Amino acid sequence: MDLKGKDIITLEDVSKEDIEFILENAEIFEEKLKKGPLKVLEGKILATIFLEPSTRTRLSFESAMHKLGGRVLTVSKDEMTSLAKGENLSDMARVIEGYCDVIAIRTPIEGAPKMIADMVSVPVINGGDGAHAHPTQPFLDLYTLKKEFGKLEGLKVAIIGDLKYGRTVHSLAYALAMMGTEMVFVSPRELRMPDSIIKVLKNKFGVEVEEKTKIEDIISEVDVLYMTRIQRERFPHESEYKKMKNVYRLDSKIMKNSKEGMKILHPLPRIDEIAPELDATKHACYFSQAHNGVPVRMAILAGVLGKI
Amino acid sequence: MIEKKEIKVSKIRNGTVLDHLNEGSAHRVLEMLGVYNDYGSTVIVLMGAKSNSIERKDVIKIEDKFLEPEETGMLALISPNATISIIKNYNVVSKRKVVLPKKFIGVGQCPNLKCVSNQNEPISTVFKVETKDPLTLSCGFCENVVDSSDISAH
Repeated sequence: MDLKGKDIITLEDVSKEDIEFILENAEIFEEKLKKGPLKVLEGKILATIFLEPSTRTRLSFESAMHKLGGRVLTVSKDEMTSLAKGENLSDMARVIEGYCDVIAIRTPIEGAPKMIADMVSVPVINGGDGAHAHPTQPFLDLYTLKKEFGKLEGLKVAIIGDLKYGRTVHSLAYALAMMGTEMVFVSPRELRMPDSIIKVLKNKFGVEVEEKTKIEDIISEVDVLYMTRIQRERFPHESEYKKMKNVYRLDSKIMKNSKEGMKILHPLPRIDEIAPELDATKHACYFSQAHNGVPVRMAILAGVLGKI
Repeated sequence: MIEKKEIKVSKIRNGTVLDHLNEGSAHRVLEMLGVYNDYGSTVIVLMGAKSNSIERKDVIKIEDKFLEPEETGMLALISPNATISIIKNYNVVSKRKVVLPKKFIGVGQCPNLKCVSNQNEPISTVFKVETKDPLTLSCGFCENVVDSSDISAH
């Protein structure tokens, strides 16, 4: 398996074997880290271009690079860059490629990571582009599931919330389909998973997906509840957002009907989707899920830089 | 006696005839081909002509322009049944149907306003053909899947 020089823009850029390779190496790095920081990427530089708010993705990329012995350059706000002077993103990226060995980018402009990947010679990793894709998030979701259950195949995962605008769930659905995991989608009708995605799941992966509108209808039969935030920034009108924002909420009452070993995942940040009373329960996995971003992104960075 | 219906339009000496264009598509086809008022030679446009194979059609004859297959692939977006005849010295020297390319480059506009192809970036639009009938395409950048009319209408 060789990820050297590869751009990771959408899930379509990776195969099932690539995912397995990343998960295996994430596990190896996590183990090795227990003995202290590594020097795998010593002398290498990661440029993080983050033009949208982010805590977990940017910091876990940066933490991953530091833990591998590499260094990081950060562009975190377009007001602080030449973009504010009217420079376009492609010119900026072509300049930055000369300063680094790999780029991780987040931007509200959909397709911008693909454009940059076509223009520059260093590997480009998409850290989220608008409602389009966020391909590294599902790797850490899968890694978390594998750590919790020891397998991916045969699990039944309910993906809940804003399935229309949520880029995380689009990427996750592809990744789960690729790994043979069963899925059920739970959303208000207005925020259903786009038909184009359901069609690809069926035609490309042979996965038929159930669609529901209530958590109560599926909670007793699933192994995982993957909760998502209803994202204010994705709605064209505030009134639409207000109508939807509190539609799903997990609390101890609703959890009474869940399976004993059922796990709750959430890409975070959460607003009101998961009551804090659940944080201390054995079901809650969302904080360890966020921490898993580090070993997984270590594997991705070392992979695209040809060091594993 | 059966009355023969004929369309009386001047022949061109050298150039390209685009026949069986969807009714009403002639202006868009000329725009796609970059043939405007200042084109130096004769352009004959016939709109809403009766046709045997489709109910009504548009026909365009362009003098002194020999369209290559790569220039006419984009016709598939707006007139998938079009035929292209190359005329030399009043004779048809080749005739072909529009062939749908695997992707369209630099044609149309992505309807997703957040797409990078709609920003101030030095890139051409790219659309990959997803399905042929109906013709749907996906943007090569934001991957939005759209009907062909959604991109060619812009």
